[in-house]
Amino acid sequence: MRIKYTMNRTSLIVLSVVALLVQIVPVHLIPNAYALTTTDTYLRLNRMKSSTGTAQPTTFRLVFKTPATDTGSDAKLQVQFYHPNNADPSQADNNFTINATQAVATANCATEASNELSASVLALPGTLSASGDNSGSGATRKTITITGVTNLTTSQFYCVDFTTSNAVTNPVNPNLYMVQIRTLTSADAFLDTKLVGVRIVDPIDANYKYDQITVTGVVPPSFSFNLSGNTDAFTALLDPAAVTYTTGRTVTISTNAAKGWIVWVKDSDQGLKSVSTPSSVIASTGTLSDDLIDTAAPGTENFLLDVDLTTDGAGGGTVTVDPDYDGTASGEGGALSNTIFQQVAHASGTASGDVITLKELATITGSTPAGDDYTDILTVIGAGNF
Amino acid sequence: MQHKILVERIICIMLVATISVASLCVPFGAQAGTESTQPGDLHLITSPLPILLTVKPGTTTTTDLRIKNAGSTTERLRVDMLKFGASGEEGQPALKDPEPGDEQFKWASFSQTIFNAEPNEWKTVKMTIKVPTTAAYGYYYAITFSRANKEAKTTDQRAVLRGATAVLVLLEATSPNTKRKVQMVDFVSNKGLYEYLPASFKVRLHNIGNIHTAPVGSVFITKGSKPIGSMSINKEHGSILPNSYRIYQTEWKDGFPHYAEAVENNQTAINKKGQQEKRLVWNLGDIGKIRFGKYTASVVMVYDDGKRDIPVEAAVSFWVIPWRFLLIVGLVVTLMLAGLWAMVRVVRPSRRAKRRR
Repeated sequence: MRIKYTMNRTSLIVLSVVALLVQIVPVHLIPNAYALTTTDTYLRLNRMKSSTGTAQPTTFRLVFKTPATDTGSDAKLQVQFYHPNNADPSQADNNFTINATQAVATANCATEASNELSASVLALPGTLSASGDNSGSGATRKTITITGVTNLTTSQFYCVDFTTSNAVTNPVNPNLYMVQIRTLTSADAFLDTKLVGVRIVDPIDANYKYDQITVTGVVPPSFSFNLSGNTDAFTALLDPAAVTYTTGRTVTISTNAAKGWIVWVKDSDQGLKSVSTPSSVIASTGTLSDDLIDTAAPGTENFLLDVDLTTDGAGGGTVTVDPDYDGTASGEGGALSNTIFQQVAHASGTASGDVITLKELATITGSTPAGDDYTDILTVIGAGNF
Repeated sequence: MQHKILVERIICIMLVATISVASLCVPFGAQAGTESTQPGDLHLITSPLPILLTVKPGTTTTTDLRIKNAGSTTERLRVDMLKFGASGEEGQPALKDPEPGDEQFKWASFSQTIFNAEPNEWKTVKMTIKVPTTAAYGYYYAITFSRANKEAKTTDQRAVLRGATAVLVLLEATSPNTKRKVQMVDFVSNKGLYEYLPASFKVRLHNIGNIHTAPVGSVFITKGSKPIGSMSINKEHGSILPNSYRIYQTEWKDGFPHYAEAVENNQTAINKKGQQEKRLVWNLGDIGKIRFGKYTASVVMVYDDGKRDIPVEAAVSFWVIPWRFLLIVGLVVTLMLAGLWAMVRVVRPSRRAKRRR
């Protein structure tokens, strides 16, 4: 009896662990992304941005497929717009605005077959006329009705364009909206119904005027670049037994542009060159743009740039020093080019006093020609991202 | 006496000559203000950024480049041109020097190429681009502002730094052959399982057209079929250059609790690994936003193909399981049950004892 009790307890523990694994393991088996499948009925808005800030009117195309069974004699087609939460009074006005005047056309529908579908698409047949009813609110749907439709064939794609420039005006809130497509008899008896989703996406930030300069009340995007000096002296004479650094200069950046910023560096001579003996060059040696840090070792000749993050201003994008230049130990830095502007740091968003520090470092051998005039010119350029 | 007069005349002539030469050598800017004689800090502010221009070939377009010297002394500045392309996939430009055959630099001119910038004063430089009839698609300029008197090499052991700030100009020369087409390569969640929000998403798009384009859109979060929230993506209108990729990122933060960037002394706190430090925020006002279970994020990005908005879509599922919180709750419940069980065991023998009596 005692043995049985122990086994039961063990089984329970094992079962619990298995149950836990069953819950967690499938999470890691979830595919990361998949494309949405195309349905056989869709409403394609020609402008999909929300009316936040500025009203976004649009025309649209409706493509639908009739069912395999004939349910009656089609004479009308209705397109009804609503928000899934329209039963909620707070969402009452969260819907499309429908124009009372509606023009419909089918002349351009022929392209739909080759562009979007691999099946034949027919123009909606009949002597069509349409009108809109914007009176619906809350749970009541806003409707566009097409009359004069000729009876439709089963299992067939049909297409119709709503061509009035403001056939509908998109809602203010980006969201998934529902559109019900239904066919009716001449006596308004319902025949077939399809429900499709229409996504309304965020517009460009209404307050973001990337090319705005003088409009009153609008803060234009700007980029502030402050280089703390135009020379950077080595702290000691170059020494075969040591890594010698410059004091360092800072670049301070502020920008209200949400796309962030970037800083590049190019070197005049790809190394330190003696002014009096131009043939004497302590070359900058390393691999460019491999995302790996290079190291200058005492007793060998090298000249590198070390870039450190000094301040990542709060509330904005994240500052990243390029891994090629983000030295953490003595002698670590990145090689410089005299032909390529090397990216040394960037930020992913707005900046309020982001600071990076640039320090050059050099090592020499015992046979490096003597000279107290080894120098070079670094061009440091900053810009806001595009 | 005559000798003395001759010497005085020579001295006088030399003085006049010296003053004349000196006055010729004074930079133009010195007449307008006190130009920095010992240039050190360089502090420039440019606006706007970037600049997007669309122009019909055979016509001319102009745009204003604005620059402010935020330093304390007058700077003499010069305007130069570079070009740029795409670097990496996060919208970072790669600067390049003009190359032979880059005709677009011949089309551009400026109202001033060297000018004085007084402290705290905005200057406007007008850029004019005469686009020839043969032009088509995109041309990408980086207009740089730097000191006109470029720093020379020193004769002691030091590096010389030349600072500059660049304004990016994206020019589209319209063409009937312009092709705007974007493909969605990837839409991924950084993790399949989150303990707490934010959940981070990356959309990777490929511009397979021949002109830059800026898709915008939203990520919609649903649980089952119920919409939970939405976030905008590329609200800033960042462009993808032709034949390049770009990653746009967004985060779903609307949960209780959720991690947020830690700030200390108005700076982003950095942890020992050099990464941005994040801390849990317990805002009791958001207690109704406890996230638990399987969610789906659907992204819809649209771009204008010149006729209409073209959507590109994808979806990804992820889980939010606050497992540590659940473990603590589970432990508390287990302890409570164990306590109850122990109490029952204590009570039962005493009842048996009563029955025996």
